[in-house]
Amino acid sequence: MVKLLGAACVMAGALRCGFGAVGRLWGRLQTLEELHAALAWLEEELTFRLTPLPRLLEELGRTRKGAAGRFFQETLRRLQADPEGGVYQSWRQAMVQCLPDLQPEERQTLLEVGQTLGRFDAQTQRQALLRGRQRLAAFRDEARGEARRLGRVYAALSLTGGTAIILLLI
Amino acid sequence: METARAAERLDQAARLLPGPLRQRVAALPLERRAEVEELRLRRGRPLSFLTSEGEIFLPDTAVTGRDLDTVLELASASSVHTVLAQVKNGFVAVPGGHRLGLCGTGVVEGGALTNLRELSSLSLRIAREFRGLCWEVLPKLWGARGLESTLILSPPGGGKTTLLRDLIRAISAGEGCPPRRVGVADERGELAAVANGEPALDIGPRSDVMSACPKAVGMMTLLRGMNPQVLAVDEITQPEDVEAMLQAAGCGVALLATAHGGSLADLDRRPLYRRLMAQGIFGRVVLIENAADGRRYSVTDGEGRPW
Repeated sequence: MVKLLGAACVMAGALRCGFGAVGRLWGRLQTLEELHAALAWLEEELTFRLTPLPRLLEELGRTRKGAAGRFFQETLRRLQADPEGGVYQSWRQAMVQCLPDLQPEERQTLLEVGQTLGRFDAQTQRQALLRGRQRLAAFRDEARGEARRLGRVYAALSLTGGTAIILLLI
Repeated sequence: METARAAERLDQAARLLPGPLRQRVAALPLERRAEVEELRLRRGRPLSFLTSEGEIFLPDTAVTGRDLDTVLELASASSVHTVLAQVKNGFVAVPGGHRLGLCGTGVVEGGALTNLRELSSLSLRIAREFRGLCWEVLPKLWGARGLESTLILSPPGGGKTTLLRDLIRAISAGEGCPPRRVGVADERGELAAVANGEPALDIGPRSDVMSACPKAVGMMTLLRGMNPQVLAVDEITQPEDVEAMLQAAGCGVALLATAHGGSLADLDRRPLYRRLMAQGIFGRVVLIENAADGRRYSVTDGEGRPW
């Protein structure tokens, strides 16, 4: 009975490790998808409505899911707390806090977008958003492939790894 | 009390300045702060302010390009794109009714200024409220027909808007005259500074404001919908404004308006105003002159005869 219980614990631990890694892969993919959609929406708003940035951030914080939504909420909160610091500072700090799973090049892309937001004319901002969106789309596709490929590998590894440990211990 | 209020208006406008510059303005004595009409920021030069005595520089306050960008970012609530479309006006109206004049490298499309990059200087004109400023002229604006349509004239920065705002307030409140419903076409938000539907500046209890729409449209909307007895409009600059004023005058509404100019002769040299004056709409003209001891107001009839 004790052996059975120990084996169950080992298997649960292994599965948790494996599926945790799978979750992170899919989580990153979801964040990139949400960020990509957010940049596309910002681009449209700046083209047709010239909406003030705080209102755009508020809307994105409300409508985007997961870490991306929290990122926009946090950017707005920081901007309102310290307007003199500017959008870029709030954007950068919120990114560090809310999007820790992004890869360095994905972070760099977002930082470049943040450098223009709210500080330039609509056309310059749109160009930066378009560039950012195109790069994020490439990162997103890459992340999707990775999630599918590595997701299966991590799941299989956790299952076989757990089984192997159990067999070794028994 | 008035001094404290005037200083408060400056402090409100100075919130748009970066911290170190804001602190220098805040450190000025109360009486001095109450006198400030404008703050001027020029890249690489010290911050300065304008009073009736002239332009005074604050030493050791070199303004940087980043400072100018920060002011614009704060004035636009981190949304520079929303105000750059206004640069063709030469300035941007900011919350509180203040006016931010912009100067830099222009971007011209189709012969018209469409954008600005590399700001070189900014002027932040403080919206001022001086209750009772109009008392000197108000009694002279009433004739046999009641309130005469009045044109306020002065060179730029002469205090036309401040006088107009106080006239609106006094007429709307019935201060020293019978109260009247005043329709205010406030295209640039300088007269009433409406925020969330409520005027931030005192324009009296019987005033209705149409803001953020072209003056001509605002005037016609007020005429149709709000049944004003008096229509007030700041800075007539477009033929459409003149057309709307002619129509309003034909409806028996008294007009209060301002225009740039040092004298009636100045107006006569500009076709836009020549037409307006030729119609004899304005029964009174108020001329504002800057003198060493302050501003002087003189009232004439529409032909330039002292009243």
